[in-house]
Amino acid sequence: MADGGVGLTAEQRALARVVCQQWVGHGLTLQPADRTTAEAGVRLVYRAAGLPPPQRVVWAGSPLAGAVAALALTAGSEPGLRVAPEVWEQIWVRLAAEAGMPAGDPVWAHLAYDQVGAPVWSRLRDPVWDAWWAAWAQVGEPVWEEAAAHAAAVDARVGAVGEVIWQQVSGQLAEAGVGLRVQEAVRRHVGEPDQAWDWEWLSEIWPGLLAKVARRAWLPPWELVVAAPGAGSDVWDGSYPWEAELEDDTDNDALPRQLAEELPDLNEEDAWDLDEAYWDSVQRGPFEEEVRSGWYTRGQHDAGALALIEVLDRAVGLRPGQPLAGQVLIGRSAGWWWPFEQAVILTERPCALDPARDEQGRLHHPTGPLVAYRDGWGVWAWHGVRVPRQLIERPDTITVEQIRATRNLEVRRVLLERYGPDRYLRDADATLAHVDEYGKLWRCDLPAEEPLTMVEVVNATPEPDGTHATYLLRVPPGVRTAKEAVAWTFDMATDDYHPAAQT
Amino acid sequence: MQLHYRQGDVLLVAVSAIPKDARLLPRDQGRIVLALGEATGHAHAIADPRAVLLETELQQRFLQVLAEGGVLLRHEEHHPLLLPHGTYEVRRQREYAPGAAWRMVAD
Repeated sequence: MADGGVGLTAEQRALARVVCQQWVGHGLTLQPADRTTAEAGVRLVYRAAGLPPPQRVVWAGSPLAGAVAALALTAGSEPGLRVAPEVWEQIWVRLAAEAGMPAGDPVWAHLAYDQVGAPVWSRLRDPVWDAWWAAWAQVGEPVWEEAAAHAAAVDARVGAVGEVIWQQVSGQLAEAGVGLRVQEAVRRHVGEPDQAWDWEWLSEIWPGLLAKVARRAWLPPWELVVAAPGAGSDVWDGSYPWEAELEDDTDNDALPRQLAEELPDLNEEDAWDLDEAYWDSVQRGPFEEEVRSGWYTRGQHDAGALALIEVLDRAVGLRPGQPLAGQVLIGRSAGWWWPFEQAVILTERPCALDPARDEQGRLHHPTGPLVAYRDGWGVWAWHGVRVPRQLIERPDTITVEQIRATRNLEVRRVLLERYGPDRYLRDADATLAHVDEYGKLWRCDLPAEEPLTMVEVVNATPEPDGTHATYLLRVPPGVRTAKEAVAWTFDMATDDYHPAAQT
Repeated sequence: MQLHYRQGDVLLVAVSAIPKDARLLPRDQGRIVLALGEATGHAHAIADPRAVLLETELQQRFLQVLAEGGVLLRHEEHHPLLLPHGTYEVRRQREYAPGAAWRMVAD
């Protein structure tokens, strides 16, 4: 144990900076995975846990592809559950369509369920835990704290990318689950005879699987760093990003409303049952359970934790145990990975990365993906709303019918914005609700939402050619007259609005 | 009713006083810029030195016109607007956005 109260020397600190810089590079690289190195790392981690190395190694093109395959295989390993491959095929097709992924060649097709075995991360992590504790004990608190502070800066950059990816993966899985539940409700509702697919079974298993995913979501080895004594509370504030997300989401009626729209005859009780099941499926479990139950690890996106190990190794001569060394190898060379008894799923690294944000700090990239993988999967966002690729990269292909048919209100708002509200008014046969000297008030119904209401105003100053330019501004749907609309845009009472001069 | 003047997406509403916490804002290259177009870089601006712009902690903006004969507010796409001597609250035009309540217009 190092001397009490002494942190890194100036020389060690300089080395820590170099190592952390390299880990930012590993975390954000756009190079294809180094498969040989990653697979060697996997064997090390297995060996440290006293397990034979996995006989089968399957590479997924993206975290979503890996997550779907891992879900299928996890379900397949649950004792007493009959897995209908067609069900998973159905989920895959839906996800693939949703994500614009090339059809065919699902990852799990390479793995028969009986050749995979149970997920083993919960077994692999015990030696990992032990190695972390040993490392802490060996280097002492001051050194650990200082090295952890360096590593936290790596996590702030790389872990954030992992978060963005996770939100997209979990969001798509949840949406697919909701979609399947809706299908099940439809089937029950119309009293179709039983199909080959065991929908009841799926309804049972899906929430549990999603919960399993959610629990693992924010607990990569990084939480071991922060859970270890001496890591300091400044590294992690104890909150979980998805908690804030759930609390922020005040639109609790969205799903019942969506269901009601889709199934006009569905009674309210059924709709709420489905909603409840959905929310159950995305809530996290008790903390202890989260820590103990493992599901996936993030490879390169664990760069923060792995940088800490390497700083301790190279700067102060800690010799990391095999499980940590194995993780370091994987983190340097691959993305997310899911270990099973007889197989491991590893994922490729992204080919594009630009997690841009708007002025309000929301994820926003107006022209391309935030993250993209070579299999076509990626994350696109418009002012904080996750959207399909088309909305960002091919807004010219958006149609009035598509806007009307889109059920997700947030996505529909983005569609409308990208299409152009003024153009939509024209193309969707808006009605002229009011005209006065201040302008024209247009109104157009949107399905299941407040009507689109816009005021068309004329610039007071003529253009060089003598004409007056017009423009449209969206106003609240309750507005009745053009004057009221213009007054609203300046936060004025209607009766008070009367400019002494305007140009 | 308060007197008010409009140039495009900017409205100046005459007020009797400026909140105490308002602080003087520095000029931008010698001009007071009331609003800047996002895409065009066009500005609603006052070059006359006899005016000052202040901002409160809540980012409310106030314009004080000191010149007896008023000052001119100019913009690349609008006729100049003569603002008489006095104190004004500067309002930007806003647009309704479902979910976000509203957002600013920038022409």
